[in-house]
Amino acid sequence: MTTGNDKILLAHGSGGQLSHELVERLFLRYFDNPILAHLDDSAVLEVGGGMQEARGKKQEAGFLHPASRILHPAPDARLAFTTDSYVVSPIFFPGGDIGKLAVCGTINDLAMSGATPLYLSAGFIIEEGLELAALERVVASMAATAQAAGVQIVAGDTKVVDRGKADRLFINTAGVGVVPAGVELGGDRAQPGDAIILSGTIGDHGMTIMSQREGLRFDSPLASDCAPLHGLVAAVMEVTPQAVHCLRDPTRGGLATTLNEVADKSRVGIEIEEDTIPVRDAVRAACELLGLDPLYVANEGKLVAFVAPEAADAVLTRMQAHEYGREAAIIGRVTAEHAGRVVLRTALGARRILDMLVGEQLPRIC
Amino acid sequence: MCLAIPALITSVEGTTARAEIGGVERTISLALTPEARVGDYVLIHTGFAIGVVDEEEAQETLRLLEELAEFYPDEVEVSQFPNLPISQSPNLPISQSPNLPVSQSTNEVH
Amino acid sequence: MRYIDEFRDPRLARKLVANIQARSTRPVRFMEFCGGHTHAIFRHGLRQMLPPTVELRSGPGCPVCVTANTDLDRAIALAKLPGVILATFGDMLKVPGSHGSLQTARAEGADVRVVYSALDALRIARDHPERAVIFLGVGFETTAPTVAAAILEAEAEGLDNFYVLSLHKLTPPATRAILDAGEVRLSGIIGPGHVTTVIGSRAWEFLPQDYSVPCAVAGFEPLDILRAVAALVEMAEDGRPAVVNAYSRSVRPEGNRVALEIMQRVFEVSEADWRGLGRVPASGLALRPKYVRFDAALAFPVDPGPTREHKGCRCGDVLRGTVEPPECPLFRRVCTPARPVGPCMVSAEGACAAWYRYGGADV
Repeated sequence: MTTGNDKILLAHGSGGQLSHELVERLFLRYFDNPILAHLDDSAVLEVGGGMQEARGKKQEAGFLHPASRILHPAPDARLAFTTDSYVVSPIFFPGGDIGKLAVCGTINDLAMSGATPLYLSAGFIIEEGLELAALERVVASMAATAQAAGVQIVAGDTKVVDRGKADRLFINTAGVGVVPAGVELGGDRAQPGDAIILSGTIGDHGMTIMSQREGLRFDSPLASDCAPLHGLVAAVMEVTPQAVHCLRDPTRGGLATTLNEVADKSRVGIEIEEDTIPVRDAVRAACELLGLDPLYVANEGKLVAFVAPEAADAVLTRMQAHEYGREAAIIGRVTAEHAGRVVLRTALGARRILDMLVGEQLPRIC
Repeated sequence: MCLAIPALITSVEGTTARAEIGGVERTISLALTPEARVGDYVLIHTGFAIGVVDEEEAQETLRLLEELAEFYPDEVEVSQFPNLPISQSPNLPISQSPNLPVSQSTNEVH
Repeated sequence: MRYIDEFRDPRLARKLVANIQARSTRPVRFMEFCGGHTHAIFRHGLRQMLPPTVELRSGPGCPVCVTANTDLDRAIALAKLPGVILATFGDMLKVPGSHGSLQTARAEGADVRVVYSALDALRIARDHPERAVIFLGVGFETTAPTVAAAILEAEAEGLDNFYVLSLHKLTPPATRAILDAGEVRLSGIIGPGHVTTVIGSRAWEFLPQDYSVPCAVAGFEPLDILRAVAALVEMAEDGRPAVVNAYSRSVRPEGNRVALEIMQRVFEVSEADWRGLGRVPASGLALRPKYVRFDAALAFPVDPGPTREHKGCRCGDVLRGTVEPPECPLFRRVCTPARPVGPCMVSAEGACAAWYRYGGADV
């Protein structure tokens, strides 16, 4: 559809002919599903008992997802709803792109509440002059990610702003999912004694982005860990749903910030062991070079689970059997002491406080 | 001042070099260490090598520390004091082991 | 990671602690001059491992923290000039001057860019020949030679839009100033390992000679720091002050002659304003007349307006080692990493930031 030099113009966002062409030829082509194809002002989705029917349609359309076989929405199922905006720069990076991030990020927010993600909306704010080929690449990536995850993109919007008013491309995604009855997860539900299980290596996404930024370039075997985690969550919840008290994905601010948030909301203390936290060598090295701490670096394909102690080993085993949890590890415990504080036991055996990130972590020379 | 990391020089081209640490490679300047060669470890600070690591000295230092270790067979376990407020250090029993003067085993005492 | 992991060996760390325990009989106070040491000590929890007889006190070794408000205000004023790109190390971005920081200036429209190296600033200058690129030269003798090398490269290329605002400072004069002030009794100094890689361990001989204060030059891994502390304890116990090179894999008595030569070719010693210490003679670096065309202060005279110091902020006292951060009335109550009043709370290795982030639960 696109020639190499085609660029997005302001007219593409004005609602006229060019806008329509863009929607038909780009968005509809990739986000191909009957709901979106209606192109009504809203996507009309069946809820309640009709959910089964929607699922049936999903199955016909080939969007089979393992979780849909396991979790059957009941009359007292609840709706989970979330939104997030994505402004990452550069928009393409090893392991993903802003589109994949936008789909996975919202899927993961739903998954952390125990929801089965079903539908997403996607709003695009495009800088005038963005190459059409770049936009197509992002959209194709979103479609592929959504399809593999069994999620449909059913509503969207496009705006184009003057050159210089948006850093190439911003994307907002909102997402809706169903939380089965009986699933109660929350940042305020961690309990003393809970095991804290991390699904894999930390710092991969943030250091990959950092490595692409101008002035901080280095060649490395780093790639973003961007991934949809609802399958991993479903696998974990299958073990003993009641034993999982809280799930969080440590995105901006890193693992340390997420742990502090839970410690604060649940009014508990947290103790973690530095030695048990999995970090790739390349991430460690990149952090050392720039003076950054992996504990504060963003992740886009990891989760941390607070699990009743008797179920910890079973949950760990189940995680490690899943493609996104191979390097899962128990990294610490929840305690009744020092409520609201996270304490790290360093590799040397000393204990220190692990605080939350304030502002951005910047590379330092000192 | 402060942040300088040891990395291995994998190639040299004029006054720049490729340096590698933990699988991460970066181009650095050898303007301050023109004597550095492929195979050397250098300390990198803000994209420059500021010194070449003396690998023999590194090994010697570790060897001396191992020697010291032999004088203190009882492991000092910080974790024996879990209930201490974090800001205080534990009161460890003073060991009766012989005193190994650390500084005399260090090179270059002025 | 080679030459890092081996020097974090927990078993050897515990042995060194045992040695320190065994040798330390009387209270001693050592100043770790360098902010990087403050950061490393807190990060690895080394304070918790030392006996109560050994106290570590932070010094003015954080080049960000010791940057005076007047100088920072000038940098911010330069950043606001039309057509200027101000390139800075990340450390300086959030430090509050008299009226806001470089970060707030950026939010107001100034083109402020974080760089990892002076060479990145050079690259920006090449990419934008129509703009004036001013590099904020902060740092001690570890960094000054790198900035000097960048200036020489700019000269060789005939680059005419690259400038440096030199706020570089020298560490031995600052150490002298602290000891001369006599406000804090020190039993020893943990010498900055990477500064000394450049200036050489001989540069610290004045400490035992003129002040009878022992110095142990330390690297930045736990074993390096503990080793230096062990050496200082021993020298303090025996009353035998000397300079010990406890970082011999990087530090030589003569330092890095090439780096020193390049630094001295481009810079000359000048007086400098240090937060906490005031004006210290012969403690800073200024561009030599031959390189004066790269001097941002001369090329772009600006009037940053009157300097304002924040009332109640005791950064100066913290930097001189006369108080510890919790003794500042603003610490934690008013001054936090989210809303820092002074640079000691902003800088990743300012003493106040280290205490806030890693320090005691009951502070």
